[in-house]
Amino acid sequence: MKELLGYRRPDGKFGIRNLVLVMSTVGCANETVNRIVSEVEGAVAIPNQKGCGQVGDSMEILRRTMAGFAANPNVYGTILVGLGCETNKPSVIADRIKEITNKPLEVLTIQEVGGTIKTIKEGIKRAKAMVADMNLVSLSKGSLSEITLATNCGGSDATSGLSPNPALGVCSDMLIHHGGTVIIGETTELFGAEHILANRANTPETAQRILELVQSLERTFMDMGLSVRGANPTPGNMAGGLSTLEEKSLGGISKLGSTVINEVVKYGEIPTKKGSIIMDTPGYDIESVSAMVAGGAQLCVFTTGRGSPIGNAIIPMIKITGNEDTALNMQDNIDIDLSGILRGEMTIYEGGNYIYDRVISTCEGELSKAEIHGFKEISIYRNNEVWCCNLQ
Amino acid sequence: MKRALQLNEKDNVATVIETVKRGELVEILWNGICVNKIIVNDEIKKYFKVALIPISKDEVVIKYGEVIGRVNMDRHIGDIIHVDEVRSIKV
Repeated sequence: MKELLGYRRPDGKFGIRNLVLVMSTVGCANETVNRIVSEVEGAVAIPNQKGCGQVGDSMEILRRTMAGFAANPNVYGTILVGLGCETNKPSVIADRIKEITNKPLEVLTIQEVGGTIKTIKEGIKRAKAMVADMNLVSLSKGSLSEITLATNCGGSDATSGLSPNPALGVCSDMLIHHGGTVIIGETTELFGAEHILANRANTPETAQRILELVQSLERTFMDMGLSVRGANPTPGNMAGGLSTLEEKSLGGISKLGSTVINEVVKYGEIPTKKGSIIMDTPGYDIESVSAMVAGGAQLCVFTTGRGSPIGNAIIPMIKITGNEDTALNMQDNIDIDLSGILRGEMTIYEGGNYIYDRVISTCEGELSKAEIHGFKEISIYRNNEVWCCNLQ
Repeated sequence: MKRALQLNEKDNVATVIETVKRGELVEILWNGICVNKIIVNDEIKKYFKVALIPISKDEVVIKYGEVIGRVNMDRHIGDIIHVDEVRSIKV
């Protein structure tokens, strides 16, 4: 079996990149975090869109996802920077992180340290010390069975379901054949194909959970007077050749290949099983990929029709397209051009093999275009926003 | 010759990869191999679907090896299959 070289963590996980996170527990600490990271090569800023004024599920989603970021195998250690009075208490996040990993962790709060200048100075000192320790980690052997691949699509068009998605499915099957794990998300894109996914479940319980995943979201949409089924395929989809909801969804789920589905996990939750995993994520690409990062994915393959520039702060993102115009126009952002499939020059199986080879070379250190650009998008889904805007 | 892609061996439709005119002969590719040649009965735009076998009214349309809907009318080999001809089962 193919052997990889990467970073063995004290919790046993295997990373393919080596990073120190400087993670803000609240938006009020974001600029402090940015200034610390600007002085420390090897450290990455994880800003927070909120962290205060969040209630109910939203707070739990935030905590679970932040803990997952710190536990991601690509991360050596984390410095949490908070303000001090936020509802997303730094000490609570620290405890959540310690529940799932024993990697290096430090906490600073601006109100306790005494203002931003002192916190920036202290943060730089601690981040530099952590990076110095990180750089002493020698490369260790790992295997493909330890790799979790995030999959996502964005800027989809008529080519997405015909070439990059099914080719990624071939790659997913190959990785799972070697014992690895593949996550698919974007719950709204499963509508219309939930019965097919349920038939692929490992147990009746998983099948039921797949159906419940779609039905519960559909109920929420219907309570708001919205019909996802009625709205898809969109007029743009139909103009591109898609005829039914099932056809659109099948094109999306083809990213997951053909293996048995072993588990359905919540947004940002770390799967307990290997193989094919469904995660409950939104259609917004950055929030969806970020959830899979919290779930432990070391890298992402992202399929696109129109092209997408996004990267991620913690994992490499490999961009693939089957659209020849996009492959040319957006070559700054596209890692793999599969347009040969729709010219009849390449088979879907060959395309899948190209992706698989790039997954392995990326695990071995080859940089994706988004990494070369230094793009570090990250965003956590929020719900239960109830603070204003009920005035009609 | 213009081409159409069949994605799964069970499929009864293929997707044309360039616009074809009524009466044109189209090669059906599956896994890079030409598995069939059919004459199309309609103008079919790039990325739209063509019937590979006769499909009677209310029978299922199969793409990706799975059912994507039922046809509203009898379809012959070479006929277009799009929103007017196929309806979702899951909506």
